[in-house]
Amino acid sequence: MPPDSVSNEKLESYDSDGSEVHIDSVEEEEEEEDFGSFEYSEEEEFPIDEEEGEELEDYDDIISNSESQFGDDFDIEPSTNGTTFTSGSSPNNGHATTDSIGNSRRGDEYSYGLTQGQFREESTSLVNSTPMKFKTYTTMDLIDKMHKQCRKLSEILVISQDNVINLLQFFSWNSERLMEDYVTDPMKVRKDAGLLEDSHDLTGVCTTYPKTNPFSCFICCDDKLTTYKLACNHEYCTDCYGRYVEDRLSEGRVIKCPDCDLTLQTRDIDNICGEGSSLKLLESSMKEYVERLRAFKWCPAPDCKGIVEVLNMSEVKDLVNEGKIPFVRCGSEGHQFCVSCLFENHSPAPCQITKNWITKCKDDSETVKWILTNTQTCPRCETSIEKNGGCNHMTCKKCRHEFCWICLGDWKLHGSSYYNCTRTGTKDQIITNENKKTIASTKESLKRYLHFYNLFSVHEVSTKLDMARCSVVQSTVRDLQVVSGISWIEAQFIADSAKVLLSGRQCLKWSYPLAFYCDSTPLLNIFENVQAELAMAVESLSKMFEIEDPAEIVEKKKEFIDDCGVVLLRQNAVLSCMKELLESKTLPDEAFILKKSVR
Amino acid sequence: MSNLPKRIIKESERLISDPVPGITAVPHEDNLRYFDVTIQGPDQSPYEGGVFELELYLPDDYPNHWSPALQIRTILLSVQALLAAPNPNDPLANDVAEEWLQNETAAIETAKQWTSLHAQPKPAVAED
Ligand SMILES: [Zn+2]
Ligand SMILES: [Zn+2]
Ligand SMILES: [Zn+2]
Ligand SMILES: [Zn+2]
Ligand SMILES: [Zn+2]
Ligand SMILES: [Zn+2]
Repeated sequence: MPPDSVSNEKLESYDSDGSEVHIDSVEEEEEEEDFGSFEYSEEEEFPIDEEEGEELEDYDDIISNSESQFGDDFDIEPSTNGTTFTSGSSPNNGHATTDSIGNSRRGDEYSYGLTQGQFREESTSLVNSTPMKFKTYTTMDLIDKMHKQCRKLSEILVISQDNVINLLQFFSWNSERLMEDYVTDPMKVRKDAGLLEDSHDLTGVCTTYPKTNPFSCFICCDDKLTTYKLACNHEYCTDCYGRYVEDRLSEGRVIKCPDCDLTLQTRDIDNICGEGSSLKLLESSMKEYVERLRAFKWCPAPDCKGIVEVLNMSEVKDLVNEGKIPFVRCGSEGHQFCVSCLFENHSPAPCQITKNWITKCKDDSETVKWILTNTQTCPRCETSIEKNGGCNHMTCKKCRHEFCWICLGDWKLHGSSYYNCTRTGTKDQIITNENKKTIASTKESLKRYLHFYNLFSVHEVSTKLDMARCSVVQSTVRDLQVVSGISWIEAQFIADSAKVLLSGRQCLKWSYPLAFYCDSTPLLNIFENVQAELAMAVESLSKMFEIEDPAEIVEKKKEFIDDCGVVLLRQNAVLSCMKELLESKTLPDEAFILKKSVR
Repeated sequence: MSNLPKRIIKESERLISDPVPGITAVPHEDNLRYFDVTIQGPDQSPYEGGVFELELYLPDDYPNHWSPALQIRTILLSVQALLAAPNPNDPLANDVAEEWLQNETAAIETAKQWTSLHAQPKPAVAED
């Protein structure tokens, strides 16, 4: 029921007093003094999108280059190792932005982020998202960093890098703890982590048997010719061993011998599953590694692997307290997200309200589900029926229709056997009178929440549809440009309109949580009116993007620009009203006091 | 069902030639991944004197994606061990576990009664 983004597991705020000192911070007092915005050239759409083509074969090269690359000042140059910029000046925002009159402007005139970029300059004081200084990383960059840390530790502890990788995976990448424990009692640490006691670990042995005297494998019970075994002599055929290791490469933990606690080393994994396999394991243990680094954030967008390092993390707390939204933009995908909430950019709603809202959505999803599972409408006459017993054979009090609670099918079709029902039922809930009262009051307060929640999620869904439609329109028009010779400048209004549409949608969507927490009826009435007006303007612009014929779209340039103007005007109205709401302190404390569970 | 891994054949053979005390496991003739299992209630447990019938099905990925330490024999032994020492903190049926935790004596009494009612050796009634 709740939208994906709300149930996002990465939803956790940063640890605000992060006093931990990481090994990394020692090895990395490199780089930039100057975080100034970089100039981009308009031909270069995404100067940071440079990762492809670095295959595993080149891996050693990357490692050997990494020192110099990390050390370089690369805030303008495309680089394999992350690019520094501030969100406001990142390439996506670089293209022309449109103000409310429809004039196009070029990049640097606006120093704020995409969302604000479309607002009129005089209204920017209303806007609360604040671009952070950050650096983007790819998975490969992070692997380099992990290897660097391993090299460093291997020098300090005087053990092989292979061992360090195993130990760090065993210690969930908590290098401080590893160092401490290892210095205190290396034998114990090695034993616990499944390493051999002397530090010259032996690689496992691959054996080939003659056809006349094959090996009988315990796992598959077949006669096989090639086997692998670690120092413990637990020997299995390479097929079985391979399958066993392969199954565990994505778990990010040390892999042990199938029959004892001895840990497989990098070389064993590569020997068994092929060169580069151990890299997969390293990649899967990266989640834990990144979680140890306070300034590193995974992009919360679904399926995105982007990682961002926030360079001015220390400012986050103050910004949030001022009601600002500290946001960054992940890599070439341009996902904007708040580094405090680890959620999409939720401007104009402040972080506290957002966190409360998201927690509420999570908490209430169970209640909502419960109400939905325990009240049902009769499939024939639609009378609402509450389940008041464990029996799933229901009879409607009004029309006497008999149906199955679980599948809502006609009971007679189930024949005599209830177990024919194809749907798995939820656990039976017996509703007592006490429960009934709770349901009634919960239902009342849920009604209000559901009202705003529905509006919120409707726009969440629409955002996705808008995005898809916008990119289709932009590409058909691009095709038309090639054929008809319409200039880039002339067609630019489409990209601009798309931005206005999406930003209007975002503003609308995040204004509902705010309205939900609004206590004052008069202000809420005004707010809901301006929201409704913005909604109409957004839908009208959204409709324009449904035009299929690219030529017609180009002809309707003026209408697009006019519609954008209306969206921007009304968006400003919503923002002013919101500013008033926030300043008038009509919002209850509930909206601002964070529940403990949010941290 | 086409070719049955040798490992399953070997394990089945061994279960018959060298059975685990108190446990029988007989594969179905038409589906060798399907076993009819009986487990005797362990001595000194509320299930003592009862015979419990189970069905065991080896999924398609057995034994390939399973830990080699997990064999049919070890699985059956662990079920038997659970009868001897139930763990209400990690239950399959929450309501039963709740009762067990609240009033262990009564729960054990119920288990004894049900064992003599439903798990007597001859007229076998399936439990699930
Ligand atoms: Zn094998
Ligand atoms: Zn072993
Ligand atoms: Zn992303
Ligand atoms: Zn936030
Ligand atoms: Zn009815
Ligand atoms: Zn049914």
